[in-house]
Amino acid sequence: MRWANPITTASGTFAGYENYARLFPLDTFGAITVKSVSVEPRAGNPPPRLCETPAGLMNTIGLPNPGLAMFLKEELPKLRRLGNAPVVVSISGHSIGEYVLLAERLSQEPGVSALEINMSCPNVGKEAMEFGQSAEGAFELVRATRKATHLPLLAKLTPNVTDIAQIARAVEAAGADAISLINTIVAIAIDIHTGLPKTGTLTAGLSGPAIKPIAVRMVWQVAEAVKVPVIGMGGIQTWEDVVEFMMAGATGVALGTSLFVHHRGIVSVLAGLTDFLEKRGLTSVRELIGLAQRNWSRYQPERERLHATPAAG
Amino acid sequence: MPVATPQLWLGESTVRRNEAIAPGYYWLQLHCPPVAKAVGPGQFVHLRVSSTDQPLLRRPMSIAGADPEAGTLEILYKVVGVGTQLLAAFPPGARMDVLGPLGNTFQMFPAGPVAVIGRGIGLAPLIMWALMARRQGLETHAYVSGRTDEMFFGAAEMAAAGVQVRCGGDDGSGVGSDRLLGLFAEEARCLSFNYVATCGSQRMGRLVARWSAETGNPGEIALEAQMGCALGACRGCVCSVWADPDHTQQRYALVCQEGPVFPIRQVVHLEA
Repeated sequence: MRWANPITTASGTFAGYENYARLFPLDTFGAITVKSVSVEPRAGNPPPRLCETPAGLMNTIGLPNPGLAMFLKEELPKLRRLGNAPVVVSISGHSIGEYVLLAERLSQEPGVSALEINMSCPNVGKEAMEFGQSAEGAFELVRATRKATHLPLLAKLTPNVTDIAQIARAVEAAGADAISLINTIVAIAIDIHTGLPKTGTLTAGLSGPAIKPIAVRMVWQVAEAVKVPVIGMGGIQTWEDVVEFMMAGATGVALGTSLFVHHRGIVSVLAGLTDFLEKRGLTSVRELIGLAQRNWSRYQPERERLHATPAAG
Repeated sequence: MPVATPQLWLGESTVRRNEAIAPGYYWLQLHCPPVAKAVGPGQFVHLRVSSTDQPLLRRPMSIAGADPEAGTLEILYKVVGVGTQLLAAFPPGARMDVLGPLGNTFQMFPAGPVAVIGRGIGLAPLIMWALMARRQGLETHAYVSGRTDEMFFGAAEMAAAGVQVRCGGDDGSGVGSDRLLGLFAEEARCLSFNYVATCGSQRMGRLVARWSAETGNPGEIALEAQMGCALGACRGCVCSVWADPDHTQQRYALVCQEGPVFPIRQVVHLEA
């Protein structure tokens, strides 16, 4: 997969793109990752689907989408008319069979550059995220989907697990070409005046700046554990955030919730990145990938040596 | 079903005025020529009220008026939470990031006589529409309700433009808010309104729906919704609308794209 720059959109946040295309060329992104397609059309969850939290946003959108047939007939041609950036299609299903069906069919479309397995949406009951919450489930799903497509395959991981590195190793072993993370964190908000949850479903997924440190931590852990490229996301708003994720081990990053606030943010983020590379005398963003991990492995042993606990007595 | 205007603008505007006009209610004037020239009644803008990530999201605000030549927008809003509280603190001269115009407009313009009926900040889009309807030379009626006579927003301006205005307050001012609803129901029939626009009150919505069902004439309602992107990408701002005339099925509609203006019969269900 060739991206002009390392920045894509976060799947769940990009269900409609025509209006964004009126603000800037969609090709400004290195790739466009679109909202998950399911076999059958989905209406999505009942409102309220959004709940603002401190420096964050809870969502329970519920994967509304027109279904595979309508996606192929209308959405994909629309995307192709709007620009030339590679299109990554996220797929979501109730069963492995559905993921396989989606992968097979979408692989036949010239407009699809890559597939992203949604194994992490927390807002659709027992689908998606459940696959991503065990190494066995994740392996089986990616393995089956791998067989169904020749296209580059990304696995989008959920943070709602005990050991993200374990899941990452499983999907790599199963044949994922890249790993994207994190999806949203399961959360609840209660309206104290009604005494009820604020969202249409009991739980919703938390995103935005509040979760960034968790996302950076997980990107670091996954990048340490696998060899395939990692696409990091979770609270990225500025070029500084992008640098942080790359230093933690991400090869690429995605903008999600920030699209709702800084609609043209991709433009300033790219400008800031370019500026930063120039000032630091770096020729490419690639030099940033895993930089903090390398620094840490160099300096941490020395620090430990200097602060070694003296022997008792 | 009017469609969104083709122009879309994202950029900084300048606050000209931002004043309390009733307890908790503010009138904001922004100098924002690209949006002022393009916006229609019913549409809204998405405002950045914080320069930090707290609160995170923009706030959607209905447009109550626009002067394309002066390049100004009028917004009527109520302080209900952290976002609107911050909005109320913007002084004249301050810069504010604006995305707009967004959404669709009310019908523009069916033949008269036409009417608007609204309450509270729901009056905002109705004021803009009523003034434009008058400029088109239509016989225009306005039914304005509020808790007190401080909340008859836009009544004086509409009356000055030749709109036939009726006001009714919960406190009995004007004709009283209950009597106002009765007056609307009577006059809608005897004056044969061709079209009614409403916003801001469920009771008013039901009255307009009943009138529309009985006369077969179109009514429209502007809805509000909590919004994420306001551009149709996040799918967060859905409302439930009736998918068929017999009201057997519902579907979700995006308030920021398909709305905020909807045919009254899609939104309001009348018990038999």
